[in-house]
Amino acid sequence: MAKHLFRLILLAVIVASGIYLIRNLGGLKPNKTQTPALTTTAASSDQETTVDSPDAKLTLSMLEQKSKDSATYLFFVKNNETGAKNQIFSKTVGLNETLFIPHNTWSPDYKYIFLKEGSPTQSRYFVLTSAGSPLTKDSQTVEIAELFAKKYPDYKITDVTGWAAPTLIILNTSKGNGTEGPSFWFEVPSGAFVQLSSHF
Amino acid sequence: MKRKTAINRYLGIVFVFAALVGMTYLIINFLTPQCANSLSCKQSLELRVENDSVGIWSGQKVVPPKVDLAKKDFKTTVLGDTSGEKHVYVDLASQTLTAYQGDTLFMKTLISSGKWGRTPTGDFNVWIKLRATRMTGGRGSDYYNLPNVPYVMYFSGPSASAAMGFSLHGTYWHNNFGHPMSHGCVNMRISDAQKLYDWIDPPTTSNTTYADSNHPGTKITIYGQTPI
Repeated sequence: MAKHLFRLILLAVIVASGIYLIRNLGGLKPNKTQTPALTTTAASSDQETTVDSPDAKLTLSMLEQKSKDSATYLFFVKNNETGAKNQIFSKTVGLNETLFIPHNTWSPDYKYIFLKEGSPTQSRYFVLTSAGSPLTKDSQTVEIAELFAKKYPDYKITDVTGWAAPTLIILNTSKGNGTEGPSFWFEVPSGAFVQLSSHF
Repeated sequence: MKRKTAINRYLGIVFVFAALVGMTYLIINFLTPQCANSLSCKQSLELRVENDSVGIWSGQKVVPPKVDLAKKDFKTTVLGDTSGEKHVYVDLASQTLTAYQGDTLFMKTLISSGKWGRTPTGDFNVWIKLRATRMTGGRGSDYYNLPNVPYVMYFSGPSASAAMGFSLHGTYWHNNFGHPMSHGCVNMRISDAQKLYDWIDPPTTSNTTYADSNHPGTKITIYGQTPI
């Protein structure tokens, strides 16, 4: 009797596992090899980089101007319906630093954008309004990594991926020992960080 | 001795029955995708346009895009040589959608699949296209209520029935494409969803377009493991 019972339970476990595997592994990966460009294009010297807003009504563009020992980045927002184009921001950095427009730069309500500045030693993330108006009473931009390091010295930002909601930027972090840390939201209007229970 | 054997037999039957019930519960609740939008569910399968409504997402108010139903210029994108079957692929591992007609690539873009609910995998077909609808679900801090979700392309197949309401659609409440963000649907940038909506079959004939035997829906293959 016990032997029959054991066999029945074993069969039930095998069937359940089979169903789980079939439902989760899904169909076969198709054998297509073309890889066209996505919405953003990589920046290189003298090229303009553009990222459309998710509804394609606005375009953020970045123009890189290199000189002997520095690079100046100019940022413009163009209204694709009216054609109006305005410069909203500019920044000059050393030649070992580069500015990027991330793919998810636009906030869902198009009021904000965020930019990434990379150097051999660190990455910085700037938030600013898409109109170019001051974000705080003292500054046009807020730099997230510096604010975060002061508040959470035990964690380091590894990536800023995009917007969870109109005013919430998503940060992923690592701990001091290099292992994965928690994700956070940065709430733009208040400048507050919210630690999350799930990883983004 | 006889009594002990009878007790063992009854215990065995109860144990097997409990194991079967437990397995059935496991299959229904965890191995089978639930309704994509847990609160609106079947109501999301109808055209709904609410231009003066405000949505809720992650505890924040979100303003949906306005939808103009008076526009009757239903667009059907034709990709040059129209030979070749249309097919959409969604790779959950890379959070990428690619669309082909024959061997010609029509579109490749980043998407956001299920984070708080599982996006089903397998082969599906589009069964209805809606210009817009309302989607509600989640609970507590995860609660969402989103009017005027644009360019909705519902799909169904063996692992997700039409009634479950899984779809590809435009997204106005987050901008984190390339990362899982949804409750099971495939979120797209609005401009990408519109472009796909105008191309995918059945050809758009109204603000609610059903697939049928003369105009079958485009095949969608969803595969891969969602990043944790």
